[in-house]
Amino acid sequence: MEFRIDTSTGMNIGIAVLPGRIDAANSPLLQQAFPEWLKKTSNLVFDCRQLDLLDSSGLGVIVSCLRKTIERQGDLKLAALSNRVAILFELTKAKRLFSIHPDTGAAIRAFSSENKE
Amino acid sequence: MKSLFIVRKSEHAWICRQFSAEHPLLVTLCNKPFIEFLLDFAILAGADAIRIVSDGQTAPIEAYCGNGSRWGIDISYAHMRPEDDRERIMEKNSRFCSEDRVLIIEGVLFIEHDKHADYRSWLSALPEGGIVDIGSGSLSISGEPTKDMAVPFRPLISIPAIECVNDYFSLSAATLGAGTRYILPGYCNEPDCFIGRNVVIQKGAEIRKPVMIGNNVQIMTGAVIGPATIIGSNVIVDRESTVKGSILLDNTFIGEQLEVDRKIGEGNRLTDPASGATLMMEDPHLMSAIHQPADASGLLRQLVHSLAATALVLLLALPWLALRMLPAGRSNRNIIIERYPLLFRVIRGSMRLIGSRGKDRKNSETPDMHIRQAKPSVFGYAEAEQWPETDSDALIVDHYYTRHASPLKDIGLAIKALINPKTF
Repeated sequence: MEFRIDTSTGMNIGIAVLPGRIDAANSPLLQQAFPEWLKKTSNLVFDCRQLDLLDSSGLGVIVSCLRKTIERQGDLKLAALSNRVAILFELTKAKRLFSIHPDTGAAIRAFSSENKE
Repeated sequence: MKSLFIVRKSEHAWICRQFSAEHPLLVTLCNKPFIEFLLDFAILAGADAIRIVSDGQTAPIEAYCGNGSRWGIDISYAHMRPEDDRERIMEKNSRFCSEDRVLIIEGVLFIEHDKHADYRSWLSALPEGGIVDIGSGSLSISGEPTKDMAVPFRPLISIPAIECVNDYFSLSAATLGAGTRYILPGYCNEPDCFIGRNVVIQKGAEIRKPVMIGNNVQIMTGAVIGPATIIGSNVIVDRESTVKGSILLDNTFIGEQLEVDRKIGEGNRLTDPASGATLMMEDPHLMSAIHQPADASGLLRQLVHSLAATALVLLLALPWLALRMLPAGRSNRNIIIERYPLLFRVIRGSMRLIGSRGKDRKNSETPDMHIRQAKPSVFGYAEAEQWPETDSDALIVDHYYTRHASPLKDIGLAIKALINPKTF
């Protein structure tokens, strides 16, 4: 999982590019890595353009990541969900929890507009 | 009047791939196969004999329709070549087509019609030629008009194009919405509500019209079905799930607390008709098969098992030879005689020392390749833990062991198995 900080908007926004699948085999890796990312910033974007398969354990870890960011007064936004993953979020009603954007640019702009407000 | 259905399987190949049906005409629309809608229309048009001509297998349709006695008509079947045009097909079926007016339904899955309209009089007076043509399918009539009269006002008749899953989805919703125009399956004592046999609607479940529910359906507590929902046969909608504006085809299970909105479900596959994207629901919790990354622990485990087996071979060689001299009937002797030679297989690497014993994993019903590919073992995990190993528990034990195995745990379990008085 690639992680970088975007400083183009003047605010630290962490962007993590998720791999092609997150399931019971590799979701613990995300869970372990996330606290380190949170130390750098509490505003995060998960770039899901490569993500094609997400199972219940992966979804559980992403929801847990959201909870941790909210606890630190931040937010976790999702960007570029594939149709298949979007169905999963809709089916499980997780869509209502997340701020979902068509691409990472839109997610970063959403952070900056929220900051202005 | 007679009717000729010309069905080119290749024109509707996508529908078979999408819906896992044996023939496009057997795919259901509002819980009723397309073929039945065509038969309904042909009967309303006055046909008493129908021939179904297809370039694919007609056996599935024959198995479903039989000789047509269910509808009070004669149904026959014929084959054609994919390259045959209408004239060629008419020529091949000249005996069937020669003596009467023939309504030719070509390349069509569904005809929008109204069961209350008088198609018989209209078609009797209609001159020979095409009636409706949408390119991919057509409706035409051959033979001279039987009535010398003015053509009556044209009743409702049109052919919708069904070229993608979204077309099918829209047509299903439209057909359910216009349920009074068609003969639809299910008990219907109020408009827009069709319920099949053996439907269990638990306390607290909610049904919103228009809705169609097939046979052998269970709708659990707190579930909300509808509006604009079609549920096939052998379907379970589990607790507190919502299904609206969707189609659940036969043999579908919707787990707890899910929201299915504008989707098509079949088995464990959920399709979004708008985008065509599909999601496989592997279990009620959406758990997909686990693909473990390749790791180096496999080699280490093999080494540990081989070393432990070598140690056991040396350690047990003398007791084994001594016990072979004992008289038969001693259970201990049997176990050692059976299993001692297996230790050499462990050294060779074809078996594990600890794991699951003697089960035929390749024929197992589990889709998990890790379980199917796991090597058999000398000592069972169940034996080590002294669990009662029944057939029904064996698969669970297999799963547990495969998911939790490690070299250290293997050694611990092997020791447990050795000190278990039932094992040795």
